[in-house]
Amino acid sequence: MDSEHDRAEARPRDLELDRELLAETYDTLRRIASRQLARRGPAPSLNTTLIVHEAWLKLSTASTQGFADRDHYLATAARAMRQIIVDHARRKLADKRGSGAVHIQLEDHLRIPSQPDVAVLEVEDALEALSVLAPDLEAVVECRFFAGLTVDETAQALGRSVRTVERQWTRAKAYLADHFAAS
Amino acid sequence: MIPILKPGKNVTAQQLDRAFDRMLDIAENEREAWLADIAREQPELAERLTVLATRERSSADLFARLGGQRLDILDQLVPETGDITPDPRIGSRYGPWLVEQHIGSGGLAEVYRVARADGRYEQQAAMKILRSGLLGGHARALFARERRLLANLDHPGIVRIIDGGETASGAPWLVMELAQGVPIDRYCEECRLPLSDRLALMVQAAEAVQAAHGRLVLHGDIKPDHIIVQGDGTVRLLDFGIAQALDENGIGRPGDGFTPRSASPEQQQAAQLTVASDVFQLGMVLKDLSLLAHGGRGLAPELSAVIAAATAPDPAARYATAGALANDLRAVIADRAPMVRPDAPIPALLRMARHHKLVAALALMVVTGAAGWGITASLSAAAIDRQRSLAVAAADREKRGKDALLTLFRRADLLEADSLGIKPEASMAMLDSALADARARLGDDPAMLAELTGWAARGHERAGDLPGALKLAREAERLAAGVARKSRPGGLDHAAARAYLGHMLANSGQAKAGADLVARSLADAKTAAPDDPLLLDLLLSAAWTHEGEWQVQLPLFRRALEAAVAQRNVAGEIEARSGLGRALSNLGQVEEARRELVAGLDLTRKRFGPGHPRLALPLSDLGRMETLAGNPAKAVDWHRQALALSEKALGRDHASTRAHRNNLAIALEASGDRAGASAELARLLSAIPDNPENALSRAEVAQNLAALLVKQGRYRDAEAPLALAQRTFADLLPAQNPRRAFPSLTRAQMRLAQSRWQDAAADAKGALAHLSATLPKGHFAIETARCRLGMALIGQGRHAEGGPLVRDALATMRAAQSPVPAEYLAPCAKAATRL
Repeated sequence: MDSEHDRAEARPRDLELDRELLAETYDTLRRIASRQLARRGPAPSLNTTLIVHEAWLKLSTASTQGFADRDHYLATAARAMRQIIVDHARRKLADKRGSGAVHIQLEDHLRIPSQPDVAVLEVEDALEALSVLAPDLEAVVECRFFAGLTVDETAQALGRSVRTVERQWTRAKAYLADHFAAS
Repeated sequence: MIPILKPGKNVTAQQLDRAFDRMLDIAENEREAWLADIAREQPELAERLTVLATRERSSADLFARLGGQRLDILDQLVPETGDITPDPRIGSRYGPWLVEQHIGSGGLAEVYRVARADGRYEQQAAMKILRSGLLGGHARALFARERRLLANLDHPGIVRIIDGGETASGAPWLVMELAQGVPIDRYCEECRLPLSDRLALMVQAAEAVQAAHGRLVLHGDIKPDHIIVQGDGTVRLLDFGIAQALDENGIGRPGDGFTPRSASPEQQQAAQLTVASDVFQLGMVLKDLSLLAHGGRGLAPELSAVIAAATAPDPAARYATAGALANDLRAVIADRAPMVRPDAPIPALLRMARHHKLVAALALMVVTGAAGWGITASLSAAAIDRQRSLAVAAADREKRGKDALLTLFRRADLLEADSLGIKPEASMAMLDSALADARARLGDDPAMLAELTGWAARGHERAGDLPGALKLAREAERLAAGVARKSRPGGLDHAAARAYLGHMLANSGQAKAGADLVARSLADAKTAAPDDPLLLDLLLSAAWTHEGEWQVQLPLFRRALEAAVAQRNVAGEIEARSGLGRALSNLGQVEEARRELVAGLDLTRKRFGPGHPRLALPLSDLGRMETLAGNPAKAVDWHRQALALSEKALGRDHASTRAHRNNLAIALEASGDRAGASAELARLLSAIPDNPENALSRAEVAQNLAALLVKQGRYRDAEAPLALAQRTFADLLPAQNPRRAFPSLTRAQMRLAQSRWQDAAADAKGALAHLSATLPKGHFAIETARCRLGMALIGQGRHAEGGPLVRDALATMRAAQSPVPAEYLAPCAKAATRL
C-alpha cells in the first residue's frame, strides 16, 4: 500500500495532545459561533473549512517553533470536525426519536436519506467500516468531506503527496457511492 | 455489517481495494483492455471494478448532496454551540486541577471553573487557557510574563494568579482566584447607583490598574465586563487578557486581541502602548457610567474635565498615571477642585458656597423664584396687569438663574425641594445674609460679587422691596463697571447690569433715567451674538423698562425671543413670547398676539407639564388679549382655565388663585354676566383672610362686589360689603385718596333706586365733597356725584336745588375730552329730560 500513509498512524501516539487539539477546535468553533450570534444575521452560513482554516491560517503565520507539528494539527482539527458533526447528528436523531417524531422520507431517486442527520450518520457508519478494510482512507475522508479541505491541503495535513491523496479520495468516493447505491 | 467493499464469492475486500487502486494507475483509454485481461481469470473482480468505476464517475451528485446536508447540520450546530458536545476538556486534569465547567470565552482564552484535584486542600479557581493555536510564540511569551508578573502582584483589586502551566499542545494556562461578581455597568444600573458611588467604584478600578502598572503590566482590555463588583462592593479587575508587559520606559508592544469597541486610539492604530492606553479605557468606562447615572443630563464641569483628560485622543494629553485619575476622581467625590480643573472664580465660589450657609440661601432663593409668584388682588385692571407682568418677569428671571446655577451645582438635591414654598420675604432675608457673607469673602472677586449682588437685587424685587432692589441694582452695576474696565472688556456683564438698573429705576418712577441707561446698554449690545446669555437678560430688562410703550417694547421682545430660541432658553422664550403677546394685544395686532401667546402656552405646558400652576399666567395673558380684542366670552374661558389650574394646584386662598378669580370676575362682567361676576367676587371676598395685612384688598373687592350687586338690584346684599369698604377705606386710605368716596357714591346710586332720597342725598353730598377735593376739576366721578345729589334733591321735591346740579353735571360730562362711560352718563341724561 501507500508507504506515506504511516503518518496518519501517529494519531494515537499522544491522547493528551489529541484531546487538546480537539478542544482547541471546539474553541474555534465556539468563537465563530459567538461571532455569528453577535452579528445576528439571517441563517448562519458556515462551512467546516472556515472553522478549520481559521485555526490553520493563524498557525501558518505564527512561528512554528513552539508547535512544529502544525500539519498534524490540521488533520486533528478535521477529525474534530467529524466528531462534532456526527455527535450533533446523533443527538438530533435521538431527540427526534425520543419525541416520537421521526419521519425518514426516502426519495428513491436520491438514494440517500433526505434527513441530514441520518445521511451523515450513514456516512459515518460506512467510514467506520471502511477504516477497518482500508485504514488509509479514513483521514482523507475526514479532511475532504468533514473538514472540506482541498486535495492540496489534505495532502499537506496528512503529509502525503497530492497524487496519493487524489487516488485515495477516488477510492473512498467509489466505495462510499457503491455503499449508498446498495443500501 | 455495513455493506462496503463487500467481498464476493471469489474475491476479498482487500483484493478488490488493491485492484481498484491499481486500476487508477491505468490510463482511461487503456482500462477496457486491462479489465478484459482481468475478466478472463477473475470475471467477478472485473465486474465489481467496472461497477465501482461507474459509481465513482457518477458520484459528484451524491457528494454534493451529502456536502449540503453536512452544512445543514453545521448551520444548526453553530447557533447552539453552547451545547455542542461535552467539551473535551471537562473532566481533564491540568497539573493538580480538575476542569469542572466552561464558564466563558475571552478574546484569546477559554475560561473554566476548576477544582484542586490532588486533595491537598479544597479550592475552586478559574483556569484560563490561551488559544495557543491562534497565537504565535510571542503571545505565549507575553502570557507567561503576565503570569510571572501578576503572581507577584498582591492587590485586592486584582485577581491573584495561583498556578500555571502548558497544555500538551503548548498552550499556556493560568489558574487564578475565582472572582465572583457583576460587571460594573450592570451593577450600577441594577443598584441604581448614584453618581458619587459610581465614581467611588471607578477610583477602586483605577487604583488596581495603577498597581498593575507599578508592576510593569498593562491591562490592555479594560471594559465594563472586565471590572466586576463583588458581593461586598469591592471592585476587581479581571482578564489581563492581552496583558502587555512594559519595558522600563513604560512602553508595551502593540496588542492584538483587544476589544475593538473600547480600544484606545493608539490600539486601533496598532501603535506602541503605554499606561495612557489603560487610562483611556478607564476614562471611557467612567464616561459611560457617569452619563447613565445622569440620564443624559449634563455632567458637572469638574467631572467632564476629568473624563476629557482621561480620554484625550493624544496619549500625551491624558493623565500620566491611573493613580492621578483616581486622585482626581476622589477630589470630584469630595467636592474639591480636581487637578485637571484648577479653581476658576465661579466654581470656587460655588464650592465654597456648598460648604457654607451661602449655599442654602442661594438654593432657597432660586427655588422660591419658581415656587410662588403671587399678585394681590386690586381693583384696577391696569394695576393687576402691571403687577402680573412684573411678577412674571421676576419669576422667570429667577428661574433662568436657577437653570444657570443648576448646571454649576453638582449636588442638585438642594435644589430639588422645589415645593418649599418659601416666602419671597424669607428668601430675601436669607439672600441678604448670604450677600453679606459673600462680601466678606469675595472682596477679591468683583465679578462674582457683581453677579451675586444682581441676584440679591432680583430677590428684593420679587419680594416687592423696590427701594432695596434699586439700591442693590446700583451696587451691582457699579461692580460690573469696575470689572469691565479691568478684566473683561467687551463682555456684556456691565451692559446687562446697567439695563437691569434701568428697569429698576423705571419701576421706581424714574422712567427717563431708566430709559437712558437702557439705551446705552442696547448700544453696547448692538453687535452682541444672539447666543450670549447676558444679551437675553439685557433685552428683557430693556423691554420691561418700557412697559406700556408697546411700540418700543415690540422690537425688544422680538430680539429677546430670537436670542432665547438661539440659546434654547425655554424660560427666556416663554417670557419673551408672553411680553410680545401682551405688547401686540395692546397694539391691536390680535392675530399675531394670539399666535405668540398660544406658542408661549404650549411651550410652558411642555416645560412644566399639563396642570402646572405656571400655566395660569399664559392662560391669563390670553384672556386679557381676548378682552382687548373684544371677545369677552373667549376671555372668560381663558381666565376660567387659569383659575382652575391655580385653585387646584395652590388652593382657593392662595394669592395667585385670588388674582385669577379677580380677573375672571372682571371678564365675566365685561361679557355681561353680572351674576357670575358677583358670585366670583363673593367667593373672592371670603377667600381673603380678615387681617390687617389684607384689609385693603378685602375692602377693594367688597367695593367691586357691592357695585355689581347694586347694578343687579340686589340692594340688601350690597349693604354689608359697602359698609366694609367704607369703614376700611376711611381707616386705611390717605385723606387725599379719592377712592375713600367710592362706597358713598355707590350707596347713593342704590338709595336713589330705593327712593330713599334723604339717605341718597347725604351719601352723594359726602362723595361730591371728597371727590371735588381730590380729583381734577371736571372728572366724571365728580359730575356723577353731583348728578346723583341733584336727583336725590329732586326726589325730595327740591326741584329748584336739584335741577341745576343735574344740568351742570350732564353738560360737564358731555364736554369731557374722553367719553364718559354710558352707565354714568345715561342715568344723568334721563334725569335731565324729566326736568
